[in-house]
Amino acid sequence: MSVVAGVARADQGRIPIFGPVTITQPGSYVLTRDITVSSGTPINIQASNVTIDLNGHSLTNSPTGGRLITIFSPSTNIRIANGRLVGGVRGIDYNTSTGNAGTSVSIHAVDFEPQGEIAVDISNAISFEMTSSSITNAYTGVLITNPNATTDPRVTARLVGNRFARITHYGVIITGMRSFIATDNEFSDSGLAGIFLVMGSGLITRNVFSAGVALGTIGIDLQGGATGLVLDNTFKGLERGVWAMSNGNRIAGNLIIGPPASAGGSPRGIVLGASGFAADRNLIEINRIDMQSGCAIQFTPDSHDNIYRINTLRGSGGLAVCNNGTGNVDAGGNVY
Amino acid sequence: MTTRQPVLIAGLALLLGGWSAARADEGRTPIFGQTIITRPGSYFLARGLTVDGTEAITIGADNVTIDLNGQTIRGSTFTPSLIQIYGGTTSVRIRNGRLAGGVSSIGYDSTLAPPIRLYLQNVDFVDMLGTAVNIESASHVEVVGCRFHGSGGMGGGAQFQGTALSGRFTDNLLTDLAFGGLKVFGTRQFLVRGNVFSNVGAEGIFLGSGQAALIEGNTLAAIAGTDTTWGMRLEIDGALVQNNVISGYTIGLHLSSRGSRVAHNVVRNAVSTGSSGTGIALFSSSRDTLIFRNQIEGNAGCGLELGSGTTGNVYRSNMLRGNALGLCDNGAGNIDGGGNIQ
Repeated sequence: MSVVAGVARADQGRIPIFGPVTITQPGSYVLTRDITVSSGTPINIQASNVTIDLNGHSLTNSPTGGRLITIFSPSTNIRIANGRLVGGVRGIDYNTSTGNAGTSVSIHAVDFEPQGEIAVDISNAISFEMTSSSITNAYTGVLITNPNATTDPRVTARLVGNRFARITHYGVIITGMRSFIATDNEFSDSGLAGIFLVMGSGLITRNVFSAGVALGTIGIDLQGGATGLVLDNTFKGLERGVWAMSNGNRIAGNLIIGPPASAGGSPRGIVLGASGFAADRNLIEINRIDMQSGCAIQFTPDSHDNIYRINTLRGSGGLAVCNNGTGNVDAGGNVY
Repeated sequence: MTTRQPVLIAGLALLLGGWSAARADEGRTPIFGQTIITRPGSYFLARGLTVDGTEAITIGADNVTIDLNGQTIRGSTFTPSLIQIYGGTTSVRIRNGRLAGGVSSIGYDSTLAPPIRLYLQNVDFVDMLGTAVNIESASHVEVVGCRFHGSGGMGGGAQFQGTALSGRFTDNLLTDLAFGGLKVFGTRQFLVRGNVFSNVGAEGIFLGSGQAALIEGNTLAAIAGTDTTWGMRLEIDGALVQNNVISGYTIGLHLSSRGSRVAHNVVRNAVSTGSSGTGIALFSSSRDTLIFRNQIEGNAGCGLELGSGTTGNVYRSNMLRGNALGLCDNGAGNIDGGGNIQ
């Protein structure tokens, strides 16, 4: 089925979708029933300025069946809202070609579960927004990439009020980012990291990261110059709460509770730098970090001139500050 | 509404002036083509519209709600405004759709008529040549959950003017706008929160006159070294500026203000030509402002600059490492409140 202008319209002038479809015209579309396929892609978008209201319905594919919604390059200004994407290898996939202008995608109130590979894969994004949605049981939650990431980082993103649960790989990974806000999200049991950012600057605040029975890995992973304000987040049971391999961050007001000592590993609350990755002139303040083992704050040999102050670092057996860097300064007010 | 003087446009496909207009379910009035709205009511766009040279929708009535219904109104370079609001219209709500092209997306250009109350929610503004939302006389505005995206070195976000203007600009996303993001003049009270600005020229946020604003939790990023722009330009008194991330501008935060508090922000990588580029700059009229606990790092000029004529400002507990010049105090009577680290 191919939808073009002039087809029958549902109530209020929106174009109904009641079976697998390729959308080739801009417009406002509404899903009028659940659609289940065993292979292929139920909805293909080959036009810009498309709004799809899933209308509380589900798109379902077999676990190895393919995508649920594919956006073809160079389509842009796409909105998808209000429904469920079940199964398949990917939920929403932007099928890019390099050299186009990139795409803008907005997702609101969509539940994804489970996807064998990636719930949302936008491989050439200008702007991306996801709000009030959930991703459960995927290999990767959201993957936003830019084919020219190192020369033209331009991804602008908002992630607000989402839930990421039981993600094998990364909850959210964005490369080639320019500007970013992640707030009021919930991450539980992300296998490698809750949020992994490469380049750009952003605000990461009021999110909750937790591990279940198993030892979790990283809450927030900032690499490749990704810098910002990491504020008022809660981390529970992770091997690393915040790992910054970038300069000039402010990491403040966070609550980090380490895993139990019996979980093993080498837990750290906040880590600055890694071998070959500098972390300089960061400000770490007003955090509450409680580690049963490992270090509350670790400065690696590649960290320099960082400041920590007014942190409460008392724990149940872990170390407070492990400073292997140079020029890092206790500016006072820390409680050990 | 007291001063409206609507001008009918010849050739309109539909004139929604009477109760005889067809109504869809839920009692809302459908819009099928170019329209002048002359009655209060709830309207929805039943299909996408494309116009060339004239407005798609003209609003000449109070208390009008338009649900764009996920549809797109598209204009050409000859379309002055996709939705034009007549002077004197007092309350308009527009939500849930896309306004593409045209010089402006929504216009209200009367400074003589009573100010408007305007509410915008979940609207995409794309590919406009000028400022997307241009309201020359407003008493209250709300822009929530919208997306502004320019292209081709054109386009701006929203501009509001008033004499005692209140409102909020929250949870919006603005990208690639050459002519600035948000401009507000004449605030009595205003909230700017949770917005993302990316590659926005001129100023990301410019509050040009008035008082009492909370500017919180925004992220602003320019392309460092290529844009001669300011992240925030605040020329109002009594602004609380906190928990923002500003990166890559010529001046991260430019302040001409009395009695403001600038706290807990991250301001980085201000770069202009050569070694200039300032993190936070207080200019001549600034006094009695507190600069507290900011992370100001990696700026090519001064991390914190207190210009000549500034007085009575206090800076304390700021992190100023990694700036070429750290603190530059050219004022008189500004106070180091302690705890600053260079």
